[in-house]
Amino acid sequence: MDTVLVFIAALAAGTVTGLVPGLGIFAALVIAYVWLMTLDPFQVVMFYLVAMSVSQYFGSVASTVFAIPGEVSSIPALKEGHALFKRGLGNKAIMYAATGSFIASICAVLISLIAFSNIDFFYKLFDSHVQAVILVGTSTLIILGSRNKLYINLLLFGLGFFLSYIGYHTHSGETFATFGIPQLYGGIPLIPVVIALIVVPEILSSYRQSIKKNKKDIILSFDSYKKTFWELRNYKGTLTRSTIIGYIAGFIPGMTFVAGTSIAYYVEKIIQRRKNQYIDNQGNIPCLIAAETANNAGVYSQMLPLLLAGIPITASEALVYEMIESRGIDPSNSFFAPMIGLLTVAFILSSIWGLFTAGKYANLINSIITKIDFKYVYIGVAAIMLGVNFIAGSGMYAEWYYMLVLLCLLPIGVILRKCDMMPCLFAFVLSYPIESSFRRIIAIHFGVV
Amino acid sequence: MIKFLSTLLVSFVLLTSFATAEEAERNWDIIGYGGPGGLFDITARILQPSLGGKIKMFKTCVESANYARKTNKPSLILMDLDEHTRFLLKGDDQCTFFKKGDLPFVNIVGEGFLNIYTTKDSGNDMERFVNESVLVGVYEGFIMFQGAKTLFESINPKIKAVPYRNGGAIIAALEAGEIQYGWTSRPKSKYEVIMTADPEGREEAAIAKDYTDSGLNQSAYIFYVAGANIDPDEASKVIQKVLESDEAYAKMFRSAGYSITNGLKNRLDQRTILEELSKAYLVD
Repeated sequence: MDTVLVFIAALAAGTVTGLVPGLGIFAALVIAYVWLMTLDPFQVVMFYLVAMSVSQYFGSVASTVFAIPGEVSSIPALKEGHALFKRGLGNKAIMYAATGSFIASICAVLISLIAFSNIDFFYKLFDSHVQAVILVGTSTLIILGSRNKLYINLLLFGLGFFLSYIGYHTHSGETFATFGIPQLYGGIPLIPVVIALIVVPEILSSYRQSIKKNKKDIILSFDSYKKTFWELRNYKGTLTRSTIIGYIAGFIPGMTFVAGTSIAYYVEKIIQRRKNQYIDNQGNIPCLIAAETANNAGVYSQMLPLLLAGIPITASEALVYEMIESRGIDPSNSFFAPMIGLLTVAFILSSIWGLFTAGKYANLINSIITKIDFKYVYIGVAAIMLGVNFIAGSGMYAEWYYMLVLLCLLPIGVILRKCDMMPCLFAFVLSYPIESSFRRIIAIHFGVV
Repeated sequence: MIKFLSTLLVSFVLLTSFATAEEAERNWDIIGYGGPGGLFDITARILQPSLGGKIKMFKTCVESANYARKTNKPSLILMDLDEHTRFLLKGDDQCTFFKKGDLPFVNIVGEGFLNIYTTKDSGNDMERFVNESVLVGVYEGFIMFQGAKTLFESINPKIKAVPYRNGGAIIAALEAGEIQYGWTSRPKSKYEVIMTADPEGREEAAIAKDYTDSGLNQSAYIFYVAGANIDPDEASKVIQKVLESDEAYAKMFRSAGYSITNGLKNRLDQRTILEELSKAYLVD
């Protein structure tokens, strides 16, 4: 019974973290820390896996309808899904994304069942050299795949790197552009960057456009799901490619499904461009499916190093690891191995829940927004984002700092609203992993840092 | 649908609030920095039920010290040697409390000696460590990394220290075969400690000072506690009592060789001892 309650709490936590920007799974674990410490270790791991799985479904719905990215991995859904939504194809986008995600989740479980005995091959693959190659490759894909001119993409990438570099650097003990202001030592926070450079430009460019309202609800019948599954056969190349990319990228320490989502999205974007099937700002279904599919495949595969070898490869997993270890338990593979079967069942159940409730949630939103002018929705979204920024800042006792950073970055977002700001955002996110992997490579080969 | 989602949300909130309902007599906040799951976070969570206040974690020591200096609430401030030393050497007092009139020390130092560990039965023994060209994963913090590099070079010039963000990343690299050894104050029980800076409780491991005369051969991860709006003597006794009797502390820290000592009496003594430690890291 207790485990069922924990499962329900994890569904709730996943739903909330998917819908609320900035409230990632890591933050959810921190908020629920004291409660989680009272649970059985199996329940802790299950809570983490289920919440993370569900948050991906709801993150894509919020991005598609409201242009609110629940987390960085939802930004491709914002770009493609929201453009489709404005053309009256929101229901289709949500159903395809949710169904594609579900298929990827099941495929990830099946691949793992086949590869369980050789799973160490995957995580041993990602040493610092391979990580550096993948991160540089991802950056190249982003620079080449974004719709701006090449030199603008390079400049935006540089801007993202510059913003991420502000602050105190633990490894060198040096500071960059802090001007003695204590808050700047912690660097520029991600949330105001996402709001100023991605969400606000999206709202500004959408505000004056007419939204084609689709009054049809998603019909949540067996036949409608069967139909969507059947239609997805037209995208089997995209599904296969993105599932594999997402699954393998899930093993990249520190980046996992965020890297998988970005790589799959940009690979698909380049393919669609070559086929002349990608039209800017119109929304592209294969690109949306690619991002969402890779996302969910990576959510499962990133757990495997922890479950099969006792190796935490993300900050959230390290926290789960510490929670278990603090009870005097050695979180090794022999401890996790007996849990894998039940955890997989919980993961599949959460995927089924995500698949069906995402559609139900989309219907609820659809019934509301068909009755109002969508301009008011955008005003509401802008107000919510301001609130989210303030609350996220208050969590770090720096609410006015967060507001000030947002205020400083907003002019950049407004001036560059016609640009695709993804190179800037991804440079901001990828800069530390790129820099640190190169530092390790230099240390390994030359012994100096 | 709204009812269903609301029920889920309420159940989550209720479940978490029941577990956090326990109140303590005192209302002291704990201020620290670093990520969740890190040493300060764990220590703060051990202390918090007895102190009653909130845990306030910041990204850097500058932010936490800045907040601590401004707060009106009774608070304990956790600081570590790594950042402290860096700021001390720069002559910058943002992360130190030596200036007259600044926050008082609570005279508690947590000390965890450092160890070289490796995967069991991997063949990565002491002989290989002192003779061959091997890679050791070390936390990337400036002082910790420079200290480790200097120490390893004094044992075997062919050793290369490789910087990682945290203990989890070192474990991942060790398991992936990228490095052969790790350097930490809290080795996981599934790994084998082959060399230690403190032999107490680690009789099976080689002792660093048998291999090098470096002043860093007794390297330890050290953290100390300052106070704000608080009586340092009372705070000192409270921390000592809580940590000495706490089961989680015993499992997480004492079993790894950590000790809580009460050896520093005043600001001047603190400064002298910490400056000596700081110099050892960089001058050696």
